[in-house]
Amino acid sequence: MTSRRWDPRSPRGVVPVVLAVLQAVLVLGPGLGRGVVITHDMPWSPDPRWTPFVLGLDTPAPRAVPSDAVAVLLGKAVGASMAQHLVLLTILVTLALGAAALLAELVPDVGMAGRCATVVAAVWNPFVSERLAVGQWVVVLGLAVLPWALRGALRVVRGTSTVYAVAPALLFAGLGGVNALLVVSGAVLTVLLAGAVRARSWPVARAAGVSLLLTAGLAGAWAVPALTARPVADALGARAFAPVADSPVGVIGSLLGGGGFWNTGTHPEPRSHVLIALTAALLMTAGVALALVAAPGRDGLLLAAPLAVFGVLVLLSVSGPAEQLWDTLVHRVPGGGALRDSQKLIAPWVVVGAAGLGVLADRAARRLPAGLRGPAVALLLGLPLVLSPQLAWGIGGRLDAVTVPSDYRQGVDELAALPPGDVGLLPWSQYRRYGWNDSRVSLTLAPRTVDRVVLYDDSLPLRSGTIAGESARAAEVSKSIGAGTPPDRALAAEGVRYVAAELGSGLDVDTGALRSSGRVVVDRPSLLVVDVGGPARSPSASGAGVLGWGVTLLTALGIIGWRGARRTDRKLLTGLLRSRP
Amino acid sequence: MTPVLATVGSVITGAVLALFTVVGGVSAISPSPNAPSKSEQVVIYDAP
Repeated sequence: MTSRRWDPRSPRGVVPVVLAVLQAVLVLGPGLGRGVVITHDMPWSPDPRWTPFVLGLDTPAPRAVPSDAVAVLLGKAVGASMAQHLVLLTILVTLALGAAALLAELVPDVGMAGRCATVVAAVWNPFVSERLAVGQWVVVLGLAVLPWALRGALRVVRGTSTVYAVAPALLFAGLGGVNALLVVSGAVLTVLLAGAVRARSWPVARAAGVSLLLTAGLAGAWAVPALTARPVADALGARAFAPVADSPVGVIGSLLGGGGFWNTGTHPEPRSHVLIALTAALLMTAGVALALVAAPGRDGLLLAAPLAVFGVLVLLSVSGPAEQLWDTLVHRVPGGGALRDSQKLIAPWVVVGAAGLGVLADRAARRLPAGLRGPAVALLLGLPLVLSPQLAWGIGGRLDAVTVPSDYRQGVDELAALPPGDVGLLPWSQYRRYGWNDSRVSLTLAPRTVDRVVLYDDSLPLRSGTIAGESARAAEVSKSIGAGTPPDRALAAEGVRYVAAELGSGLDVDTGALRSSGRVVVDRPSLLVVDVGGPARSPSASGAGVLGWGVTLLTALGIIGWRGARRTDRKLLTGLLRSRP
Repeated sequence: MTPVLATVGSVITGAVLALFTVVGGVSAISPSPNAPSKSEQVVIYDAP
């Protein structure tokens, strides 16, 4: 067997890395310009601040924890714009190299053609496109960490590594929060449990137990407050967030090709062509089959375990007859809400499929007649690109860095300098089409920029209806506004001291009524803030929030310390990258 | 034989890639991703 260590001097080691970096730049394109990308679930604050929202202190079920805190930490070190560029670039490069590393684990002597084909296929697929288009970088982070996690889990089952082989992957997935951790930890646990059962191995079973403990610890920051508050999720969510067909080949066909995200607004236009959608589905299915067959020994069966478990869950979510069962799972089982957006569970299918495409390219390069090798490899390298061409240069304008108006930022600074008090946010919706952001749909920036408790409408307006939020205070305000109470009065009745209106956000605000509701304290073209005389409350951390953060930080430090104690000559951050891709 | 095979293979590869590129590329640059509706009063999260 060849050395598993990545050799930076060999073309086989260098070319995939260069390719991974170049394609990441090509995909992100205008998103790497001056400013920050603000789209859908990625309202990246231009001014990193530890706001109550960022720390998950003002919401019953924190969803942006600890990912937003990590973004703020990085932003304070290198600036918000650079932090976002680094995060997005690192995720795409890690994804590409991780899939290549998984391929090399399955086929140790794989050549350059196979590695490059996998590097391309891991990124140029509908999964990455649809999730990036909606700004869900944490889900793509989970996808990026997944192949490294699978590789580590296979090594643990083989007995060539201890459980620490999966710990860094769990740590990085943990940084992404609930979705990333669910995908990565779920895949690791299924591989380890399948391996423990197959080999009747106590060490592997113990590794599964340790992985579960690490997962629980890393989840503390969001899981402890959520499980304590027990927010009631809208029953409509289970249906609204189920996978849908993003192509003419149906839901299953779309999922097989790596698509099927519930948000129809993100569906790539090229997938409306049956030729493209069908080819993508066939290619990825063939890739998965090849990867499982090519895996040495019974590794194929181990890799099939997460595909099977996650596949059953995805099928439950799209199956009409299983609707009741799925609803029960999502809404009655504690933590089941994390499964609601079930399309993310095809992540193992996507990375294994990418590795399998590498197997196909490798075999083509070795076994075809000399004259056909070049064209065949070129075809396999090029197909993922032409099946997802929308990814090139910022997904059709979705990813484009913009400069947040200075008057908005100055207005937020002025608000920060005022006496304590909660802020009620208008327009009464959490989604915006900021004029300065080319009218892209995005979450409001305010909770991530205003260092106070911000009371905003946390419901989710969809074309199919509105999914209720989880904040009881916001629900009361919505109820009052629905009954005809002016928004500023409805907010004041919920105890906010300031009412802030984001102007030029694509939604109307009655600024005249707002100005007359109290004393104007910030008056900028993009931001109007009025002191309506509410109580001077300061944000305070709940016991559950502090406990959760403590558990998560201790677990993370434990993993880092464990690493340091075992391998003092290698740094954690470079540990993953130095493994041979 | 090898040069003939190479030629045939290259032509087929080129044709397949060109076909997908034209179909996908034209779709990808089609306008109106995420275009706002002039009349909407609510920002719809999953708007096209």
